[in-house]
Amino acid sequence: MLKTCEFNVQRDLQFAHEFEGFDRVLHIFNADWHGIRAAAAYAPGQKLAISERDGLDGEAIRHIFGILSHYRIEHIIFQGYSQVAASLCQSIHRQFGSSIRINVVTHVTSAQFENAFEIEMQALLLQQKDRGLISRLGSVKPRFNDVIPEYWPSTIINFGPNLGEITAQMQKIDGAIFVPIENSWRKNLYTNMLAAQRCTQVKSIYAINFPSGLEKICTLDKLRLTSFKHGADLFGFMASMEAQMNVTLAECQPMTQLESFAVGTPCLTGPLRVAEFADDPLIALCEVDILDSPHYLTEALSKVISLGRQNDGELTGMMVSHLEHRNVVAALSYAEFLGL
Amino acid sequence: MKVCLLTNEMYPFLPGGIGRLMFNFCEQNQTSKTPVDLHYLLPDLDEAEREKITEFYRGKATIHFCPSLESTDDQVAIALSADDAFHAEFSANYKDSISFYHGMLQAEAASHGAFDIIEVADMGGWGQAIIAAKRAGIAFQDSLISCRLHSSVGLITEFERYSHHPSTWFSAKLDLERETILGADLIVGHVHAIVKENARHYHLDDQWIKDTLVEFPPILLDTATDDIPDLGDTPDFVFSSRLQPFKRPDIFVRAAVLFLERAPDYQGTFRLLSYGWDTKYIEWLNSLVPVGMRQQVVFQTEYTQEERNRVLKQSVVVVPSNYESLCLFAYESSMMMRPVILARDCVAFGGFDRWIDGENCLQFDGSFMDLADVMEKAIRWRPTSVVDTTVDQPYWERSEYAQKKAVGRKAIDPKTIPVVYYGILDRMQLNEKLVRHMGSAFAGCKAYFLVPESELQHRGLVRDGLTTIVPTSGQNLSCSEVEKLILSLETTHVFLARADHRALRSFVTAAINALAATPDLDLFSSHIGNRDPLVIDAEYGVTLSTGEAPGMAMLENTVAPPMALIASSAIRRLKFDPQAADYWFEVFTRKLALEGRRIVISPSVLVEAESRNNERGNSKTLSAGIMDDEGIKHGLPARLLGMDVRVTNKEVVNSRKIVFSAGEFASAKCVWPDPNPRDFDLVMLQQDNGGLLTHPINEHITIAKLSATLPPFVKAVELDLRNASNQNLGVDFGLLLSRSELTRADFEKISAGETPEAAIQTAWMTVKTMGSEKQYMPINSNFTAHVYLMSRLPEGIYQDDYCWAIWKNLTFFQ
Repeated sequence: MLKTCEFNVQRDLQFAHEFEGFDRVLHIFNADWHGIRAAAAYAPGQKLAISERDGLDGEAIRHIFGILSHYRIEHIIFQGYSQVAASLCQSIHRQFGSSIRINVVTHVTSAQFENAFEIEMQALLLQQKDRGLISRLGSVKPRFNDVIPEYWPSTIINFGPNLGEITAQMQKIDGAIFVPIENSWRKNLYTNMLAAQRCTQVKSIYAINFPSGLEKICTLDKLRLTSFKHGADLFGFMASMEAQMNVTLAECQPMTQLESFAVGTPCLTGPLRVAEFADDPLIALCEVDILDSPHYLTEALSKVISLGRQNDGELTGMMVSHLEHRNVVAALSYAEFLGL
Repeated sequence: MKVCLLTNEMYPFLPGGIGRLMFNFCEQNQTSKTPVDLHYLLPDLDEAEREKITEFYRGKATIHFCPSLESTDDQVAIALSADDAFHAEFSANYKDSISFYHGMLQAEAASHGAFDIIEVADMGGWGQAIIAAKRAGIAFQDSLISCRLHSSVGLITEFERYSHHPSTWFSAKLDLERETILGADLIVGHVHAIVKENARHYHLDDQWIKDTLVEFPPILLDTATDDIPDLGDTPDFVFSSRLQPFKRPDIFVRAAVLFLERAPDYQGTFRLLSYGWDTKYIEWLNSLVPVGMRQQVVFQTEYTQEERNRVLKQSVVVVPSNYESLCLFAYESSMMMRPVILARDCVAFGGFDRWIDGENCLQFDGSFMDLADVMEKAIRWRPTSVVDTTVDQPYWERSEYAQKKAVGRKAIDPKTIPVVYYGILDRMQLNEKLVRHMGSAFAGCKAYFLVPESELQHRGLVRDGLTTIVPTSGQNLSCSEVEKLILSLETTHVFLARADHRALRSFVTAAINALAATPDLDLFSSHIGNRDPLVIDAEYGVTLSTGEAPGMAMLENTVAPPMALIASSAIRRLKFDPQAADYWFEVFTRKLALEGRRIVISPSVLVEAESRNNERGNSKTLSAGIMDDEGIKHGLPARLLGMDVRVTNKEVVNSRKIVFSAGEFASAKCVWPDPNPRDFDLVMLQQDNGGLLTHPINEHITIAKLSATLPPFVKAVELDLRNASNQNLGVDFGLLLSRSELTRADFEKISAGETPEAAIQTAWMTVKTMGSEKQYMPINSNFTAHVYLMSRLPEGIYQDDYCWAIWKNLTFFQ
């Protein structure tokens, strides 16, 4: 059972990066939103997970005030937003005034606005920013200030998990790939699955969700359903794969790709267009442009698997240098966003 | 000075000698020139009793009570309260120790800081967890933990040799006592001869005797002594200890019979004013009295305290016990100027110079014939003095003892200790271990991963920075390879980690603290939380580690989990025995405990096992081998291989339970009716109502889909269901498992009363009125299943207000 709030728990600290100057930064995020929680968990700073299910009672809020005072927090970053976060933001502002700067980083694209919740949250953020509660709004979606001009114009860059240098030791299972996506329109499970099934180098496709009905029109003999995993179990599993597929229709900076790179497994996505990595050969290799035709996904998948099998360390080297570069860029983007 | 005494008796509410002493200490403190801030920690009692005791001691001492185990936030305590801790007989005893541990933590918190002195009793081993917590560096670092020698069950059972059925329960009890006595910072005894008796029993050396503090406690009388009558020419004799073998009521009865055989006309009565639990034993005592003497040798079990005092004042008091640690009763009788007859072979009497034969007592040699002679003498003999009860100043009033409390710790860098992972079966597991290692507290340590070479992608040894992958021979690892690797590392200690066990982050800190406080430490670990690696929130209780407990080490494979800090010297000395096959680690730890080496087990869970069962396998041949080896080592001519003792003798079948509860329900989605014709959510997690709501509505079946899938080969399910309102006419529940995700057509089929293809659907279960019901249903699924929870109105019902159909949890059995 989840507690109302969890401060600096193991899962939010164990793979975090450390950068000077982030001691007095607190990330606050929803305990159940896995992707956003991962983005916060790998970033430097203190971590507070809150529960959307039960809300925060007076005791929890006093406990949070205690944390803010004890750790002399100067900057708060709400990662993702909700009603519970908004009411906590208000309470903190009332108690601490301008001595704590409250910022919000969102992880949404305008494609997701079909979900009314997302628009409501943006409206709420704008209101609170207007009232001076929130200092700065940032986004991990490039050019999100084209959607809402009040946003900070640069992009917040996500950190990959800090796993040290272990990629060289990871042991791959021949022909195994992982499709970790759920079965929804946005996530594009069917195209990913068809592409993987038709890739000759692939022997086993591990997936969490079954592409319902697909078996009626094609053979799915490579498909192996696996359970939902998290933490080290998930990373270890990803590490055993030759590649991972997350070619979805709309995305910001998917954490699953960064986790995959960190364990030495390439991960395909749709076009993310993060300007900071425009010249990165790994990104060029992993971004697929045409998303609704398996052919292009199969082609890209085949290419990364072949490169990995060269055994010359080229692909691993690309991932190592991408993450090194990314994590520095990420630290700089946060530092600039916060004005550290 | 802040002192807390731990006790399960408290005069005048919870009877017993220890409770009386506790009261006396409080009285003594009241009149002391240098009183201390006195606290007592008592067991978990009901509210009324708590109030009475607290009120009685108000202004004199602060009384704390242990919390109920289930109210703590601790995995071990909760498992113990739910009988979900293995080994059952160990946990039955350990429960008390853990209860006092949590009680002491709460007492500390309630009294705003550490106690300077925590005093535990030897009895029952109640202090064991408190001592272990201090040794593991997780609590009580600023307290001196002393142990007072009252009467341990260990010593008593030695003095009543033929009265106990053997059981693992005894191993547990006696081991916990032994650990408490051996582990305390300071031992306090009342009588030097009893300290020596403990040293003999527990094989402790002269230095231990020298280090033990002997101080005489306060003895108070709560009955008036001015109305004590003259005993006359034919006084009565009374035995008023418990009817228990070491109190030797049989000696009293036989002596009375012999006395009356010699003096049939004697007018006095021989009373056993007492009680006991063993009816067979009491029947046997009764049978010792010839029918013709039953008027004069009388057993009386029902009496009031006043009645008892009156009898004592009118009688010669006989204490034939062959063992007592002090015996307040004997002192109180002497203080009432009664003739007291004591057994000389009991060292608390015969070995203590405050008892002077012929002056303040009469002594006999322990035999009933001699007692009969001394009884004759006692008819006319009257004491010329009262036994000396001069009290010593308690040690807690003396500053030198409180200063002893600090733990001398030597800083140790955990990075100097390598970690060796073994039992890794394949690449996927190796990757998981590599990642887990990087995120663990072992991250800065040199790490070695032993993996079958045939499983590796790249053959040969791979060294990268601090981590090394060591290829091993064959599929099933030999312990010789583990031993060889560890010894080649040439470090003083090693963390040994089997792949199916995981250390929590605080494990390393606790291990380093334990090592720093106990340089001769041979092994550190903790109890084990069992967890299903595939299902979030599926916990399978706690396996208790028995650590130093030698009796348990004889019988069970539970000394320590295969995730431990171990001294390399212990491995060099004992070796890992390949003949123990898959149980080489268990055999190694059992031998270590039997050697009497220092093992610290943290009382809270710092290690988790990927296991769907809290039991640990064992076999008779394994235990027989261990015992026989001990017999040979200790020069026993009889081979213990001939003993067919009971052991758990279990091949643990990993029967698997998969529990779906709030964690899985949180992400449930309403998939039918679609669209929802109502303006409220039909499916939602309702913590207040205890689970997931699937609200049925008129003309529709409500169907929720869980995001988690169910692994294949499930044989049965237990459904915990609740109708959470008294304002409906009943609700129906149904469970459906499907190989593939259901479509609109499938939902329409279900609504028409059919089961979709490749799906298993249970019968509808009705919960008619408000309340919970458990239903157990066989199901046979051989596929990974999508789980659908359904509800509908019962047949003939059309009113759907307040139809709160709640799924509390689902337990699947594989």
